Amino acid sequence: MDQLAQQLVNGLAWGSIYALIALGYTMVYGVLRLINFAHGDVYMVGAMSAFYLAHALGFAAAPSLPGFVIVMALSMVVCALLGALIERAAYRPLRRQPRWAMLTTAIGVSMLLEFGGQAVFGADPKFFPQLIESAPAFRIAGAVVTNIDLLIFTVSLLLMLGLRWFVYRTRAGMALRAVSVNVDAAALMGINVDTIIAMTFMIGSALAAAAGAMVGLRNPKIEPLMGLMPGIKAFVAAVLGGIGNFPGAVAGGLLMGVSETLVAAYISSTYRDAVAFVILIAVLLVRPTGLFGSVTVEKV
Amino acid sequence: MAFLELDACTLSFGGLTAVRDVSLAVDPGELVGVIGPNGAGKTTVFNLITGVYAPDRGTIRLNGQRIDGLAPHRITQRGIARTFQGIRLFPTMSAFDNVAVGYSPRAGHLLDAVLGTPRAAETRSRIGAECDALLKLFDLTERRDDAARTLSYGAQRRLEIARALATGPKVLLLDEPAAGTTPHEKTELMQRIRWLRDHFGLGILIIEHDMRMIMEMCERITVLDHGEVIAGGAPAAIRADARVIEAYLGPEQT
Amino acid sequence: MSGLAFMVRRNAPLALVLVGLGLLGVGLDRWLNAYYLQIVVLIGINIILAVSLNLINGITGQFSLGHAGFLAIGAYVSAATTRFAGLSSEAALPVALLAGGGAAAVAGLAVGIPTLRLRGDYLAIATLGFGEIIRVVILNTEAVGGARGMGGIPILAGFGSVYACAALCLVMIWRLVYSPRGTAFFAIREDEVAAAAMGIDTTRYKILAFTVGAFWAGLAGGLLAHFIGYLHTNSFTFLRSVEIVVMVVLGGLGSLTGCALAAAILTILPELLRFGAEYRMVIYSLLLIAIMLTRPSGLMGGREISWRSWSSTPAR
Repeated sequence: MDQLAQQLVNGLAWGSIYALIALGYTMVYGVLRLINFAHGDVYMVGAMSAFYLAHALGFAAAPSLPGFVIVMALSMVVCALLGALIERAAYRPLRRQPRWAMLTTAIGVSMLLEFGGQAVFGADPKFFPQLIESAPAFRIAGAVVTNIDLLIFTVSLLLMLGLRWFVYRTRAGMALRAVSVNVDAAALMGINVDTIIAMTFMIGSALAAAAGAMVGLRNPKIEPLMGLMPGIKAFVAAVLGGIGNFPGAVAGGLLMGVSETLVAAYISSTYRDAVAFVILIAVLLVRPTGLFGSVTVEKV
Repeated sequence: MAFLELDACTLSFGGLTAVRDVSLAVDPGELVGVIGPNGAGKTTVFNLITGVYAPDRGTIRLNGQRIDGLAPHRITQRGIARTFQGIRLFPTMSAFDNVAVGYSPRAGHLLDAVLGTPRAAETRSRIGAECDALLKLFDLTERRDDAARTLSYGAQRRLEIARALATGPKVLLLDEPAAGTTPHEKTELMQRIRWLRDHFGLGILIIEHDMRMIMEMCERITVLDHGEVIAGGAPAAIRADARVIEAYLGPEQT
Repeated sequence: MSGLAFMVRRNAPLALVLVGLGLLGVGLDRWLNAYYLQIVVLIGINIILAVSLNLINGITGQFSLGHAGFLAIGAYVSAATTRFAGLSSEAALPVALLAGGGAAAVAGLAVGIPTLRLRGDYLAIATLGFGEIIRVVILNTEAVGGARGMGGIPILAGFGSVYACAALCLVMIWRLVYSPRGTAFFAIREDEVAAAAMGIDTTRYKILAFTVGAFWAGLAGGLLAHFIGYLHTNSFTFLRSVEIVVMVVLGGLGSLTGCALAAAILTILPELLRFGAEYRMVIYSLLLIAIMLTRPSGLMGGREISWRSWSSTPAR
């Protein structure tokens, strides 16, 4: 029973990470109807830039919580800019092209980030500095929750609440929702669609960066291809929750984290990665709109 | 019993009833008009006939056999063809190929084509000739090899009808065939539609907003408003019908 | 003239080409430098892969990202056929190829049927998922070597067999889609609803496209297995699927001759880029992005290199 609780804590920690990344997928899909293949690699850039920033700013030598927060915030800025750049350079020119064109380009950007990362950062893994030393924070139901896990839960929750406030309580957020529903109508209402889409990419990328930095703290071994699997899993999580649906992305992410942790613990660790694909196929075949998604009917 | 017959069909989307208790009949050689304000459910009726939707209640019969609930391609194979309110041609395919698609379900076997049998060659020349004949009928021979999306609006509308005819229908559904066309094109269209009716013995159902066209061409007219049939009969009767006038112009202000 | 005589005359040019390729192959297999021979043979295999994927993606409009899965199944099944049946003569090759192609075709059916209702992005992701599942299953199958790979496959394929298959593949698919009935494939790509309204059973055509495409990919896998002599699942990842997609896109979605040309170019390119070492794949990705931004319609813009075709080919 202790083990189960512990696995649940682990699962929820990973689930929070997946949820943050999934939110980025879902946001971009909402406004562009694009599966941003490169998003998982932005998460990798987040971890990498946090790594370099930690060293450059001296926090690696003098670990501290505020130090980590600063590093994470800065890497969020870096990735927000990266996201905006990618959108502007690679996706915006293709808005009027058939769907497969943007999808193929997204694959290209993803490959560029991965192989470029290997060329620039070196293919060997790096070790994220221990900006916070892992220590048990408290026990619940026989499971130990470390301070790092607590940080992950807290930061994720704050970011998600912040996003929710932004989307539902600000004019920019309302504009985002409008663009998600009907791009052309939103444009006719005077909304600057280009700005909104760029903003969406920036926010999504920032969330991914936060996830990357926190993962660096929890699982210090980072390398240029680390975004591959989490990217796919987070995407599946977004689909599971209903692509385009924010609470769905969060729910999907948590479910994904918990189920793969439990499968790895109780069935076999070699099948851990397969869980995502099985869930993906199951969702697409049984309920493609996901748990919370809505069906859109094509008008004939 | 009529050749194509809708009997008290009702269709709802969630809480919205799009079509309620609608009955309609068309026989070969008849020109029947379907009119009504926007949103009255006219295209929905077409979608019901062609199998895009299945009615929640009521039946649709073709030559005595029920077709409601069948898949769209099966209904077309049984002899009902249509055009779309917003033109749905195959944009990058040539005019010739667009028409050829209409013949494709009846164009021999793929195995013959792969093996290169004489039957395949015969099919190719036969269908090629039929496509060219149809294109000629609709004054599209010059644009035979041009991509459909490069055609003028009027030419696209004609191509859509030509393509529908390629399926060899007994009943033809035209959804606003004159929308956006010039008066000259409309006159030509009316002549063409009458010719099709006479030459092929088709039953033709037309949705249109141009009253002059409807009144001149159609033998019978069915009027829809808010998903229900509010009037039906000869043009003269429809023109004078108080409910029809009210539906289009609003209630009398006294 | 009689039906048989007609068919003989119709297929004579193809037969001549096949014989010519066979003869050429005998010479090349023996005298061409092994490095160049490998590249040339690889071009042939990639042509089959590109053309078969084009049928699914470019012509029928079903954006599939899992082609490497069919390649893998064909490779492993055909290799298992010769390895475990103890066959090693050249005559065994057609049997192995058909076994591989057949198995892949079944997989194509298994993938195509459930994914029929899915559109665009969803279909792409589902096929990606299937491709990965296939790879992971093979990776965990000890009987075919699992993580160590499968070796000791008899070398039975060479220039002649590969290019003969490539010619057959190209001709078969060409005849399939550029026929009166074949216009239906293009119609489904252009507008599925309108296609159904024209009496086309879109489901059947989509399944057919998947099955035929998968068959040829599987056959190509068999050729690969019996040319290299060794298999490992690392060759059949999502990246491999992407490489094939890039060939189809570069050649122009829907253009059979275009993607064959692109397959040749993109097989040679990595060799030319060897000087770049670790930057090779970076250049490759930049190339992909550049193509999409400048000329997404590809080299041929959807047209075929052709002087004669039944109907007007899809113009852009």
